[in-house]
Amino acid sequence: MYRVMIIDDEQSARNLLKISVNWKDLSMEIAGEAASGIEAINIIDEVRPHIAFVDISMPFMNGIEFTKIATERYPDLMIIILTAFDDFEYARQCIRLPVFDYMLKPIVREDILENLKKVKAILDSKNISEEADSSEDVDGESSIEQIKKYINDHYDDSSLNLTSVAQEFCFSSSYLSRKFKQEAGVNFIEYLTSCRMKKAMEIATTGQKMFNAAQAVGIPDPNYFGKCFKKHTGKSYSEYQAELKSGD
Amino acid sequence: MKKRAKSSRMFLTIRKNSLTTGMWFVLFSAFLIFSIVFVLSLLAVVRETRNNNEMRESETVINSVAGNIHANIDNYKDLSRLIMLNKQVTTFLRADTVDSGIINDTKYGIMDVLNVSVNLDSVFIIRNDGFYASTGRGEYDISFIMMDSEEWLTPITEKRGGAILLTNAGGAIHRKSGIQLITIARAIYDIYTQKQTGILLMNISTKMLDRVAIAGGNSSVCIADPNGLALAGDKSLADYFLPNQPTEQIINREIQENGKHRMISTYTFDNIPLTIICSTSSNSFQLSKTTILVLASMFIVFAFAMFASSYFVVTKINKPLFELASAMEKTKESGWIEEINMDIPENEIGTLVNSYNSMIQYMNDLFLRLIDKEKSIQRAEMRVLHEQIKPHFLYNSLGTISYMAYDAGATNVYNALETLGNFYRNFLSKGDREITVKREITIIKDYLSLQKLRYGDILTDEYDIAPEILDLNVPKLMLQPLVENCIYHGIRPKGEEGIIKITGKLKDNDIILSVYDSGVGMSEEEINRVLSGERAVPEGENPLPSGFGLRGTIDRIRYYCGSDDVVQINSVEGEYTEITIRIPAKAKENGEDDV
Repeated sequence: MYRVMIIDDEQSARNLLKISVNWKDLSMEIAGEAASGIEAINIIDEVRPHIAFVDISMPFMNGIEFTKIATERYPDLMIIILTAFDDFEYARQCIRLPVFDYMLKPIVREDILENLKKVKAILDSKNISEEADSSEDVDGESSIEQIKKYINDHYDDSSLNLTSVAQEFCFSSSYLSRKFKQEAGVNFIEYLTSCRMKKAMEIATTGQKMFNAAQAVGIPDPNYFGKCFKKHTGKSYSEYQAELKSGD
Repeated sequence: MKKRAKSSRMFLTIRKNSLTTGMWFVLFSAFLIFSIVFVLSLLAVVRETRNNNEMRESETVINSVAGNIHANIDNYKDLSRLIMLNKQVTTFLRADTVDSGIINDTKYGIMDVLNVSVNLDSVFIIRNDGFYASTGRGEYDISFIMMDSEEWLTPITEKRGGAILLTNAGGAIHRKSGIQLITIARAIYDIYTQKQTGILLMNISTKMLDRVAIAGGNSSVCIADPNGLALAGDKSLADYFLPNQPTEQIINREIQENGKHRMISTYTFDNIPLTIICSTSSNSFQLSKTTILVLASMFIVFAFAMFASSYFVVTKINKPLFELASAMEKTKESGWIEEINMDIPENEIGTLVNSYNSMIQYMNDLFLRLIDKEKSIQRAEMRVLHEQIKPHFLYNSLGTISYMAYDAGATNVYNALETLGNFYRNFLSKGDREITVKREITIIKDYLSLQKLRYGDILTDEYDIAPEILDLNVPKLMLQPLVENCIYHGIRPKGEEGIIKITGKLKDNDIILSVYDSGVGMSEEEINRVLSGERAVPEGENPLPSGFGLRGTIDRIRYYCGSDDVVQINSVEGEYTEITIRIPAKAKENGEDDV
């Protein structure tokens, strides 16, 4: 099964793409979706997609910025740019990135299917297997401590994720993921998010607006930030702030 | 423009130069080739003439020398006959017994004859029995053995009294002093008995030849014996001796030596064992006056022909061509495709002008036709565009799909389609530039309800419009871009549900419209940037046209009102943005409201 990720700020556009293709027939599955480039960067290491549909016009981190980062970190990722006509020529002119194809919205199922078949053929020929980790047991514990410190120093970098840290420390991302869980007891992304949320809670006490807090902790997409905040604290940012006030 | 004219004039000059240069080059080459050929042929003629002259001179010299030799030899032959008939000699030959008295008498007899000529060296009378009487001016080596041999005797006796000429008596007699001798040998017959009684050998000193080997003018002469040994004259010429040369023939050879030219002529006698070698070299080129005259006139005629042809080319071809080119260039500069008016005779260049003019005419016709065609195409395209702008097809399709949705019970789809159709109807509004406030508000309501469908309930919209302005005209799509801006740059970045509020009122006969959103707000800098019309981001960096809708709309409103002071932006960062527009109220011009 090849994993597919859809990155588009419109829920309906994501839904439409999901239902307009019979993914099983192509031995593909929708492994994850993101409403912005920021969210995509945060979850991509969990989703580990083979194929990504990317919209260009998204707030906070547009499809081009995302594609730049993604092609650098995931050289095997097959990216299909899916964009509205307004941005299409612009996309063609300014991206010289190794994306698989550009497609126009509104989507035509036949074209999508055709492209996916081509992608599948390429992926099949590459004979992608879940890469077995070479058990590079490099003094795990102290490295993980260093990484934790690195995260605490760089949490405000919105492009930070498992792969970028792994590349920074010269590990394979899967090794780092496993090792991190083993040593720290939590997922890398969970650790990173909780680190950011702790910081956000501090910021909330100063009465800052949510979008400012989001910016400050490296999740400039306030929608995704809100989601994370609620997941972490059980309350929305404004509720949290209100409680703080009434607690005073 | 001036500069251009100058450069094109320069271009013409260069072109003229190149043409003229080419012509001159051709002329010069032709002249050079002609001159070379002329000089070469002149040299050939001169050489031929000189050789002829030299050969003539050589032949003259040889003929005179040969004639002299012949004459001398004939004289000596006569002398030899005299000796033969000498009384003492005949006595000596007839005597039955020979004693010293007879021999002495004979010697005296011979001496008489010998004294006649200085160059007569010696005479030998040899009887058949071997006795001989001789007189000479020196000492001699005599080979009697040779004289006894058949091969020596036979040529002499064969002549039966006739004289033959030998050198050094055919090798039998050599003068000890080394002087070479020419021998006249003949058999002597008794007058009465007609029997051979002896042999006469008369030796002539080759000094005799010294007087003969004289040549005048440019020639020198040498006389050599059959072995090539120089006997008299210029002895260095003996080097040119040709052995086995055919006799009685003058053979001419041209010889170049140390850069000097000479004509060597050789002649070998048939019956005298001598060869004459004559060398002539004349240093002066001697041409006949006629030749010189012919050559000179040829040269002058050719040069004149050349000049005449180049003059013709320049005046009849080059200059008209240049004028034609200038005229064409002038036409080009004027920017109009015009015919050329030139006073040119009806020759090939005249034809060229006519062809050019007819081509220009044809081109102009073509252009006119093209323009006509382009215009009609444009008209057709305009019609097509018009058809496209009138989106009947879109509305009809929307209607059909709406029915299908309604029929299938999908009321929400039906509502969405209805809103979309309505939005487009108002949005396009027949291409009018102005619409009423009421319709603009309708557009915004439809637009926002469609956006809510896309993004979910991220906003609520509120309207507070004074009824008196609803029917007033405003520029079409004045508020819609501002509302769009509220969503994308105000509310969505904040990540919270927001409010968009449109208010409208009349104040001092101006329409005041404001668009409020509870988004992220704008900083002072951003406001100034938007109002001053600068780009929001440096070029090349994220060139998505994000702020364009807002700025473009502000520009449009300013243009419509003719004033910069019609847009006002109030904002608190993180709280709200409010854009207020003030435009003069205009009465609604036409009564229609719906399409």
